[in-house]
Amino acid sequence: MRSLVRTVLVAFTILIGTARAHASQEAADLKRQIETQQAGIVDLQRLDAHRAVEDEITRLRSWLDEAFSQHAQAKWDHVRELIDRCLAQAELIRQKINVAQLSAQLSLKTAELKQTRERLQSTRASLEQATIQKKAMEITSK
Amino acid sequence: MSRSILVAAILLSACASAPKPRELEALEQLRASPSLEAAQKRAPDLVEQSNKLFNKAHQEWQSKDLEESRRDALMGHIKLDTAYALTEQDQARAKIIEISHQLVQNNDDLLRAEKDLVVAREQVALLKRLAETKSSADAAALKAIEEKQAMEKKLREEQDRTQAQQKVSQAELALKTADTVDAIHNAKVEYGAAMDLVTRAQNEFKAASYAAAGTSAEMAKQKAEQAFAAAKPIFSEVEKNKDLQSRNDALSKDAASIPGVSVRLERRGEVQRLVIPLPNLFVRKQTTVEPSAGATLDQVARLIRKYPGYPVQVIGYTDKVGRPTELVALSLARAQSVQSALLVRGVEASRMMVSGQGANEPVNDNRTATGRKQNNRVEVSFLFQ
Repeated sequence: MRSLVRTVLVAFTILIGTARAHASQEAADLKRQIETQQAGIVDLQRLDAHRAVEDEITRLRSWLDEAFSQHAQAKWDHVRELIDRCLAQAELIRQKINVAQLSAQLSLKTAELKQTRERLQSTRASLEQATIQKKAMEITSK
Repeated sequence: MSRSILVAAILLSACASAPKPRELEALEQLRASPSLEAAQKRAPDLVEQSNKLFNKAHQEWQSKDLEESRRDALMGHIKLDTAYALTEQDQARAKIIEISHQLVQNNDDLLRAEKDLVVAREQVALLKRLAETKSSADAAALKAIEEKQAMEKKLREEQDRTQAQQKVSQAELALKTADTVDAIHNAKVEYGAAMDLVTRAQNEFKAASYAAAGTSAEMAKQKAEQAFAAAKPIFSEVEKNKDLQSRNDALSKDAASIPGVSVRLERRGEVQRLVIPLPNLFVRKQTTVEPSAGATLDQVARLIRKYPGYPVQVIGYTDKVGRPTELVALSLARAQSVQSALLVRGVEASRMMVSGQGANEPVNDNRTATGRKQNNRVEVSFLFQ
């Protein structure tokens, strides 16, 4: 009986130790994720050349700060939820940066198209003028 | 009573729904976007996740679990927003592709238009050069025409000048011709008009009014010709008279130069006679010319031949001694003897008219011997008007 109790106690102790170790490892893992995301903010800001997602980045930063705060309070569920939200927000920021880049590219192309159309229009007008002048001179020279 | 009212209020407040979280309202608005359908096609997983989160947040709100509702709504908002961003990217890429195609098309069109423009401008430049060349050629041709016209004008002027000069010369010649018939006196009016017209023509010619000069000269010529025509008969008559007179004078002078002869001039009406009395040709009643009278007859015959235009009368006369019929016969015989002597000396018979007047027209007294001697005579008379 005594050995059984001892076994149970050892097993309980091992279980508690394992649980504590596991919890400690998860906390470190969460912290690393938060830090990784915070480091990624700099990259996102650099990508945001058109300042299109400044509000979104501010919001991401505040959520990461909140995640740190929750991490310090060992509210792991909240931390995980916040990390998931920040991951989604970061993805959103990247896609919006892509949108901004494509919009800028589209604007450039649109401007180029407009410029080309104006040049074409001007050239066609000059051509028409030259054709009229040519016909007039042909008639005159006859 | 008041307790029951309080309990009812508490129950009512417990049954009342909680206020909808701001994040949920924002998600609802985002879901109402017209891009939702396109987002479902582009990112169905994200939209599905967002839908689930929206439903969950809605339930949580209704069950008054507001914090959970807020978090899920926020996450659903992020997911749906990401789906929209992906959709926008696709739309932007499609537009970029479309614009790129249009750009290629426009650039092709532009290239063609620029090539056509270059060709058209080259043709215009060629036509301009052609027009300039033509213009200079036209100018040269025009200049040549103008020079030709100027030369023709000068030639015409020269011709006009020559014609006018010729006409003026002809008028002057006509005027000089009129001078030959003394038109200045014989046709004063015509000659004066011709003179004035010639002067006018000369002045007009000097003033280079050749047409007017020509006209004036023609008129002057006509007037001068009229003056000539009018003056010519008068002048001829005058000249004829002058000639006749001078011949008569010469005849008289030559006749007077014959030795032993005294001539006389007689007028009988229109006719004048230059009478050369030849006394001492016959002895007594003889009809034969004395040889001593040969020299005188020679000179008379020479005189008659010298002036061939004059008719000549040979008339015999006697003194009054004897019967008249005998005296007439004697005088005729003596005249015929003189005629014969003149015939011998070369005088044409047709020029001579022979007659005997007997004792008529004595030139001296028949009562004296000297008178009778002088009355016995033969007279050779030249007749003229």
